[in-house]
Amino acid sequence: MKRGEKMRYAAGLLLLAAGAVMMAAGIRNGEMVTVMQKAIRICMECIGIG
Amino acid sequence: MEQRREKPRDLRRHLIQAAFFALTNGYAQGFATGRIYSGENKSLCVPGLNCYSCPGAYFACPIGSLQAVLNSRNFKVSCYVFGFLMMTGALLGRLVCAFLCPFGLVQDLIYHIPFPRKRKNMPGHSRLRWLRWLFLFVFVLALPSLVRNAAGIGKPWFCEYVCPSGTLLAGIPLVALTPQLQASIGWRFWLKCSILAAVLALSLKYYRPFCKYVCPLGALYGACNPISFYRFRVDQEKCVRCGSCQAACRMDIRVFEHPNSPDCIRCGDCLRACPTHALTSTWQDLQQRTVRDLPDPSAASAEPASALRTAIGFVLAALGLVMLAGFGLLTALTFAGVFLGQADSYTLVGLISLYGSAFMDTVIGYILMKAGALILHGRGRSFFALRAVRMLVPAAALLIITRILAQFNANAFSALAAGILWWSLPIVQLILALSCRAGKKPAEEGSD
Repeated sequence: MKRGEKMRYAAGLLLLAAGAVMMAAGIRNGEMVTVMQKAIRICMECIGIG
Repeated sequence: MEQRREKPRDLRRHLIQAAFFALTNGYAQGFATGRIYSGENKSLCVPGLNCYSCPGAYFACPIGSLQAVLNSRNFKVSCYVFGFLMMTGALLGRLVCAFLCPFGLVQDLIYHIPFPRKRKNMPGHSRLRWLRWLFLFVFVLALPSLVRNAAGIGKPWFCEYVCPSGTLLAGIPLVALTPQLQASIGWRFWLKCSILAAVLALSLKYYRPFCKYVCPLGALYGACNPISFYRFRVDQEKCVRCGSCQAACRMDIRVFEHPNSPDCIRCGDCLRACPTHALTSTWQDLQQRTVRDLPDPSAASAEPASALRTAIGFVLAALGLVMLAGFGLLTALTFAGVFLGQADSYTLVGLISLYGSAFMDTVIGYILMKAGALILHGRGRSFFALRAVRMLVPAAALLIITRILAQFNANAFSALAAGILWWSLPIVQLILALSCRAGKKPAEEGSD
């Protein structure tokens, strides 16, 4: 594997790991509840009424 | 006039797009009653732009969710949604746009309608393509975070004033189904309808104008394209720089120079157009590498057949066939049950486990049947030596851990486990697809 490809692979792995950590932190902070509360009600703004 | 023809690859891609759309928007009861699904799945995002107010939607839209967290009083940044987008971007990049986005499918289908003087790009394309970053930073990030009312709550600006996908999937169906909403429509609804009409009209003449110039999700995933695990590769020794890839590319990318351009949606047209096969995708590289792992089939079949081998092969093949048929039917019935409106009675983990268990058991049935058949043909050893089959072990371990975690019913653990399982399904599909190649001899084996 060439050096450039290795760097790209490492960057992808880093992004994946950072994403997983951030997602776990978001779940711990209760962001999923906020998302769910928004998503289970009809979003009036989304349909152009609210 | 640009010459176009319906290609089998387009058809396959559209089938995947349609299947994913049906899977994530299959809440038929919502379309019948005008009410949206309110189960726990709604706390999970889908990778594509799919409004959570669509009557059929089982999951949440990542762009809507991002704004919902940013404009709430409790949070300044959204780790959860950004983390999800980073993971999706790192794994797939803009493959999501070509295969998993419902509004991409709509634009693709409209572009297939015959229209005079079809063009790939709108005039001023090189400048207009930066607009999607403007929409991302201004409408999705800045305005929802900064502009707040007296109570400290902001608005989802992109959803409210721009998103044509939301108008098509949620606004129009809900307004059509609900008399109370019909009485409330005002100028914003008509503004959004006008934007939708303009995008659909432009899609007749230009390829995916919304994805090229507006979509903030495409901008984010595009930034991940150069480092995502799914990528394209140019073999510089084979490439003759003929430009066939760019001619085939409807996003108009010089693929031989920039195979991982942020504009590339990974539709794969360029791979097929390359006359020297210099362009390959990660998927093709993986398949090729797996096929190379196989020993010479003629040498394997020369071994004398024993009664034990025949018996093992027969038992495995029969067991696999029974599992494949039985659990395949169960999977179909599970999906049918959910589509008929039973979804509200399941919890998030329950629903995903239900899908996952039946699907996994079907996959295991298939692999057992395949292994049995190969043992009967004297090629069992080569099958179990495959890297793809060995990859099944961590996937199975992941499934077992997920199920154990789900037993504890702790919310954070359950959510994480559900997320892991959600991502393990495409991995299992990858294994399944790779194991399909086990019986084939590599085309270029003689040249290695």
